[in-house]
Amino acid sequence: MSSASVWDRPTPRLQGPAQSQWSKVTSLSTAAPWVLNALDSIEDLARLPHNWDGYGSPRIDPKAIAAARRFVANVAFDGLPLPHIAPVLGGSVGLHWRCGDRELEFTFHPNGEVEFLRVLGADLDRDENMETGTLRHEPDTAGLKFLLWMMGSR
Amino acid sequence: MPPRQDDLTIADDAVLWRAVHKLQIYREDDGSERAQKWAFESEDNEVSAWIAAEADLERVRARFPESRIAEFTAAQARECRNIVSRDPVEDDPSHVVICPVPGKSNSQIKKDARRLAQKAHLLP
Repeated sequence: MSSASVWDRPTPRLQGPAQSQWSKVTSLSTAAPWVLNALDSIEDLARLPHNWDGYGSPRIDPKAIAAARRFVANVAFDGLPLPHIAPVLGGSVGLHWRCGDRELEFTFHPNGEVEFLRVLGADLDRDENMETGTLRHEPDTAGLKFLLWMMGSR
Repeated sequence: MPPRQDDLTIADDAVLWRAVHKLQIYREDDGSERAQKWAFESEDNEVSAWIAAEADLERVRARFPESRIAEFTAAQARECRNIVSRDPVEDDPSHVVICPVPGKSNSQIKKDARRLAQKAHLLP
């Protein structure tokens, strides 16, 4: 199987999306139920002190927090589960979703860079089952496409 | 500083410990827990760990009160295309660093961090 075919499986259509990737303003009153919890959890990362991990990491950067919150607000749609939210070394914020045998990780860095890792299948020893990269342009739109890909396993 | 070398005096079956912050632990649908990839990354590509046979678990835990201890073997770190190198620090000769093999791409480093996170077992 080529790596292209692995990643290009059909994705589902949005069913009653709370948000659109084209939205400029997010209406939290219509957001998926988990969105407010996620936004609060991301904001809570700001409370972590310097050296929160014991390895000397700086505090989580407000710019990374803002980017992660904006992303969540813009990509949320009904059926998407609550992501796992994690502090990341260097002051960054991590979001991790899993749906069946598909996983997505996004890392929001203070410099505005958004890195992703997507995983298909449990066999991580196969290199083609993982893909990494950077969302260089319109990360919300690109991220939403990845999330729709992930939900395609349902 | 000369490049790190894989220390073959650290046997493949040597158990290593890595402190993982509790917010970097993910609970699977079946209730099992595993460390996130981010817990096995480092800005300088040197991930700290301790040789279990030479370290005191309670001391490591005391040093990282907000963390759990992830356990894996030197072989598992090497299977993920890393070297394991001793890095004794003051009053702690059990400290090692796990580094990517020379020439490994940034993308591969991240994939291998995910692999090692999968292999590591979180102690209760």
